[in-house]
Amino acid sequence: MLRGILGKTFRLVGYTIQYACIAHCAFEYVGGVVMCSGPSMEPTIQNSDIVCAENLSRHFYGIQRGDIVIAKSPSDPKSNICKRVIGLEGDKILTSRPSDFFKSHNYVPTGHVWLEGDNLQNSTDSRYYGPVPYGLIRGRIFFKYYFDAEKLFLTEEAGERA
Amino acid sequence: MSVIWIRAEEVKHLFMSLGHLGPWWQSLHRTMLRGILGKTFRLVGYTIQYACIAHCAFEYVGGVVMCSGPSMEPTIQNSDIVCAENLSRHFYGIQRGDIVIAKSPSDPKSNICKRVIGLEGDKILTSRPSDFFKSHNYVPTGHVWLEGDNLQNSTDSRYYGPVPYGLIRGRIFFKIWPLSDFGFLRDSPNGHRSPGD
Repeated sequence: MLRGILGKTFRLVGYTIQYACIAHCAFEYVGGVVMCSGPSMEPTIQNSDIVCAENLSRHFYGIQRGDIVIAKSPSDPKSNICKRVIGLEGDKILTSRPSDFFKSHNYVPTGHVWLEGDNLQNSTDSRYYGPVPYGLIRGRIFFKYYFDAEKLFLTEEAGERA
Repeated sequence: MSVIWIRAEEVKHLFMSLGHLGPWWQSLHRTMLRGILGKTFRLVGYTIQYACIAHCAFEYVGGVVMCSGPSMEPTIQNSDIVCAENLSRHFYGIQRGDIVIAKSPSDPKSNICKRVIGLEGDKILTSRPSDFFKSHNYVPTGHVWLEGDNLQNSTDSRYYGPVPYGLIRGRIFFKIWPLSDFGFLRDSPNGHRSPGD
């Protein structure tokens, strides 16, 4: 009887590990559903919105200016951030505030991207922690759900900063 | 007259047998095709399954890596084969003096292999020994300071700045080739670079 129970337990553990690995690979290489929190992407993405993210663009290096991406936070590796790509490597970014008299520019270094939230007054982004290495990007958001099941495609709304 | 009748009967039999042949051929074709398709899907299914398990094993447990480049000499030579484990990274157990593999900040397609000199909040000596005035930098939160053991021939944090912790992929802890150097890896030959030690 013990052998039967042990056998069944091992088989159950084996199946669980198997399906956990497949699910993990699906979420990492294909995409998944994410809930965003925080005000830094308003009005495009509100607090507690549910969005769909796809991870294929990142692996094929197809992230472009204007995409909204999920990335690991450079200041806190345990959390993720959700910002818009304003500039790719080599782009010239305007880093001074509109109220400044002298405009200052920065070039985005190779292998990095410049991220900014849509809600510029209330967003810690590349203006605070600098350009973000491309290797931290995890996926690209392309779809948002409303709770009343009405679908809305995200539109290009960020102003021109480059 | 009888000859003509027989011939018509023969023709009728011929057509009937051909008619039976048609559905027989179709059913054989369908079974064969279904068998081949079924086998192909099952093969693809098993391949995807085992590829996922292997990928998760390499990402969460560890694997064998071949290092290239002179930036970690004499600890790790060019074309050495080492064992890397990825558990420390997930449990945030990377410490000063560990040799880590990370995605390169300047090229996301390649990996770098350097030693951790400072963790977040550490004060790092960034001036050269030949400089008169010593300059220090603090490692920002969520970042680490990486340097190769071969300081003259290594592009590391002295060049591209502190590296975010999220780029670290694993920790090297054992060398398996060449056999003359088999075993755990040595400490840094450069002593300690952060005054806090």
